[in-house]
Order: sequence, then C-alpha cells, then structure tokens
Amino acid sequence: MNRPADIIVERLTKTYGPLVAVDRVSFEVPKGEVVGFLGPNGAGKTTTIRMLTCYMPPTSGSAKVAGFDVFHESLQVREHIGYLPESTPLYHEMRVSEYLDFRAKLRGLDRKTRRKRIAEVAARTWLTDRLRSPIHTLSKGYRQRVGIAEVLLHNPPVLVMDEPTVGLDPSQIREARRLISELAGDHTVLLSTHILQEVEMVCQKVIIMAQGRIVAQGTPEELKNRTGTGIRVEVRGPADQVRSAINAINGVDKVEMVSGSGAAICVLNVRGKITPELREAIATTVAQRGWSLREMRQEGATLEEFFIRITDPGSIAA
Amino acid sequence: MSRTLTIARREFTSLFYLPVAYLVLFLFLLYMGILFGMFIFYPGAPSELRGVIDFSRFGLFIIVPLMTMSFFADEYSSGRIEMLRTSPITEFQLVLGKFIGASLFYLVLVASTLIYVGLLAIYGHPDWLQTAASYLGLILMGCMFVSIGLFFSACTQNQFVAATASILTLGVFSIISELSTRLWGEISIFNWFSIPLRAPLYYLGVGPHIADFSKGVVDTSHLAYFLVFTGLFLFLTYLLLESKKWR
Repeated sequence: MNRPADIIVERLTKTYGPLVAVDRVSFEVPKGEVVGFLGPNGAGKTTTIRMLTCYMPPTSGSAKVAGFDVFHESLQVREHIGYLPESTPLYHEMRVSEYLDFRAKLRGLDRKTRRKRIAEVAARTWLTDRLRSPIHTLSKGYRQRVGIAEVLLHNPPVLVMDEPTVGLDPSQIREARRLISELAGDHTVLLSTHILQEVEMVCQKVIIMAQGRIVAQGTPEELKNRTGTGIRVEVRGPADQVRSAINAINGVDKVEMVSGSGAAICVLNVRGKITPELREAIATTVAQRGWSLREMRQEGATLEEFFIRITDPGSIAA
Repeated sequence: MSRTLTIARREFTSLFYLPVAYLVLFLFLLYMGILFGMFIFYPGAPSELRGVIDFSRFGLFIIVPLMTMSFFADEYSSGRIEMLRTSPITEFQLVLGKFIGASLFYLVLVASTLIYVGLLAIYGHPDWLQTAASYLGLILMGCMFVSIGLFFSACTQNQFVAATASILTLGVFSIISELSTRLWGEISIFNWFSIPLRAPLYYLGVGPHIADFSKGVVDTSHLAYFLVFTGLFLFLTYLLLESKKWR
C-alpha cells in the first residue's frame, strides 16, 4: 500500500449555478489497481470523471492524475490518460484502422509505433478482422471495442472507462472483464459501471457516489461485510429468555426478534461481528439452556444490498 | 504543429465522405459556370476573370456555410467533442486544424475553376498577373468566409442554425457595401452629434476589397482586411471553445 497513488482527488467540487453536482469528493487510486466507480444515475460519477480527464475544470478542489495537476498541467494529464467516454463517440465515416491511426497521431506516436500498436490493440480487442470496415457498418459491440482499443493505443498509465461493457454480448463482456483484469498491474484503471457483478469480478477497490458525495469506499469484501447481515437463529424455547441469553454472548451487538414472540418457536436475527466462534457460542448457549436449536444460517451479504442501502436518499440525508 | 495537421487532414478527407460536400461542389461549379457564361464566354468580352471574381461572393456566402456548418456542430451533437477535448491537443490546435482542413477543401473548389482560365488562354490573351491577383483575392475571401462559418458552427450544436447564422452574416458582409451607398449616410443624435456611417459600412463589406484584387491590384489594405477578419473569427472561435469549458 506504500506505492504512490496514480489518481489523487482532493475536495473536488463542481457546481452548475446553485446545483452542486460533485460535492467535496476526495479519494485515491493506487498505482496498478482497478477501482470501481459506482453510483446511481445523476450521482456525479461522469462529472467527476470529466474533471479528471480535463474535459471541464473543477469549481474548487484539486486532482492529480499520473502526478500532474488536472488544471495546471492539463496537457500532460491528457497525454498520460486513456479515456473512454460513456457514449463512445467515433467518426462513423472512417475505417477502424484509419480512426485508430488518427487517434494515435493525435497522441503523437510515430508511424512505426502506430502500426505496431494498432496491430497489438486490435488483437487484444478482437478487432483484427474488422480493421478495414467502415465504423458505420459496425454493431454497437464492435464500436465499443474500437473505443476500448483506442484508449489502449498509447499505452497510458491511467485508464478511465465510463461503462465500457455496455452493448457487448455476454461472452464479449466476459472477455472485456478479463482484459480489464489483465490491464491491472501495468495500468491504473478507474472503471465506472452500473453492473455490480463486474465490480466484484475485476475491482480491488470500490468507490460509491450518491448525490455528488462519496458515501462509501473500500474493498468489495469490506463493503459486503458492512451490510451487517446477521445470523438467523430458529429456536424452540421462550422467546424473551432466548433473546436475552443470546444477547449476553460476547460479540453480539443486537438481537432482533423476527417472529414468534411469546410462541413456542422464535426466530431471531443476531447482528454483530460474525465469526465462526460466534455461531458456535450461540449453539452452545442454546444447548446448555435445554432449548432446541432448529436452524442457524448465516445470511449471505451481497454488494447489491449494500449499494441499495447506501445510496438510498433517506440514508444519505441522515 | 503535426497534431494540427492531423486534425486538418482528417477534416479534409472526411469531407469527401459527406454528401453535403458534393452538394457544395455541385453548387459551386454551377454558380461559377453561370458567372463564366454571363461575364466572359461571349464574343468581344475582355479576357479577364473580373466579373466572375467580383460576383463570386454572392454564391459563396451560401456555399461556404454549407461546407463548414458541420465542423463543430456535429462534434457537439455526437459527443465527439469530449473525445477531442480530452486528447492532448489545445483548443487552438483544434480550431486551426479545422480551419486548414476546410480551407483545403475550398482550394479544391477554387482549383476546379482553373478550366475557365484554360479556356481564356485558348480564346484570348489574359494578363497572367491579373489572373494570379484575382485568384489570390478569391482564396483570401474564401478563408475569411470559412473562418466566419467555423465560428457559427462552434456556436451551436445544430448544423442548420449554424448554417443560417453564417449565411446571414456572410450575406451582410457581401452586400453591405452596395447597400451603404443607397442607405442613410449618418446617424444623427438630436442634430447635435452625428456619426458618419456610409464610409465605414462601405469598407466593412467585402465588395470594394475583392474588386481591387480582380482588377489586378494587390493592395496591403485589402490584404489586411481579409487577414484581419480571418484571424478575428478564428480567435473568437478559440475563445468560444475555451469558454464552453466553464459552463
């Protein structure tokens, strides 16, 4: 974790008149990591990305990409970044090879390097057989691949991709994810997406934005654990006594009565730091008191649950 | 500089894929052909391009905007402006590159009229220096028109709005000199202070400036007129692109 960060964002803010699109956002992306950038529509993801890629200047705050300031060293930032915008804008009248050549020239690559790199990225994005096709004849998936190919042309240290797998078919999505995973290590990748499985598969870290602010960041595992799901326990025994007995166990934060208050069988939800020892402790306690344990099950945490909960407007306001 | 030329080359070659470019080519050839038939190609006419060059602006003020209308407007509406702006090129390189690309296409248009010069040489004895000066004027005027067309294309993401605004502006530039001799001569404020209008409006127009070129006179004041307006609108386009960042 001591490696220098490739993207450093400090209190980045963008306002459009009275509307605050991005509100004092700070985060870091360490070199060589793939970071997922999540959030509901209108959360300010694209605005943040556009500030990082020098499309628009921030209202206040600062950001450094590959060691260069996005405001004062904009051209250097743009040299060191590969940016795939959400809509994948292309010149439709050009052939794929012409377009890639044009983009490579804008990046200042010489003729020999251009030819070599175009062949390489075309092979990596499965475009080799379509290099001669005019872009307007390509399907959405192929166009998306041209976009991905284009950002890799100059082998930039930092890649920013806004929903790169939109429009690809399932097998292509799998290939694209594999490609992004391969890029990790050599490249720092900021990946904006709506697809949560994608994040779990390729990202080492997740940043979640909602209403212009960062509401959570961490590894996918950390975030899943933070959903605070518990152990569901079904016991035959007096509900209130069962509840207080479990509550007394070391490591239990809270016991919620799900059903069966006063009945012979009660269902409880135990929240706390979920460890295997805790499950054993609950089983022992129930057995010692002479009640019978009918079921005990750890509820699986998903990133989706966490995402829905954290981006809920009610919970942000609180 | 090489990145500017990269942009220029892409714009130039892409025009050949656009149907509107062929419409432009067709209209230009048609209009210039009519002028040639009217002013030159009849017995006893002087062997010079004067009438064609003088009247060319009344066609060019419509033809050039048709060519330039998509240059920036289409980049905005397609979202490609995001790709261009995040490339390691400055706004100035982008504007200059597009200007060079459009001007090159205009040169192709102009080159197509060389066939008339050939006819002149066959049937008469044109003054070559006068012909060269005429072409210099035609090219400089085209560059100014291209620059104004690019400016309006950068104003909006709607090509038709861009074309309409440039046609109106270029129309004013084309005809204001002729109108100024018929319009009121001055603005009078309470009969106390008056601003002369006739001469400024006359010299604001393209007419008197292109007329000298077609006579074979290369006057620095006319050179300056075309260069200043070309530069001014390129600069305004650059400012416009820069300012759009902040919105």
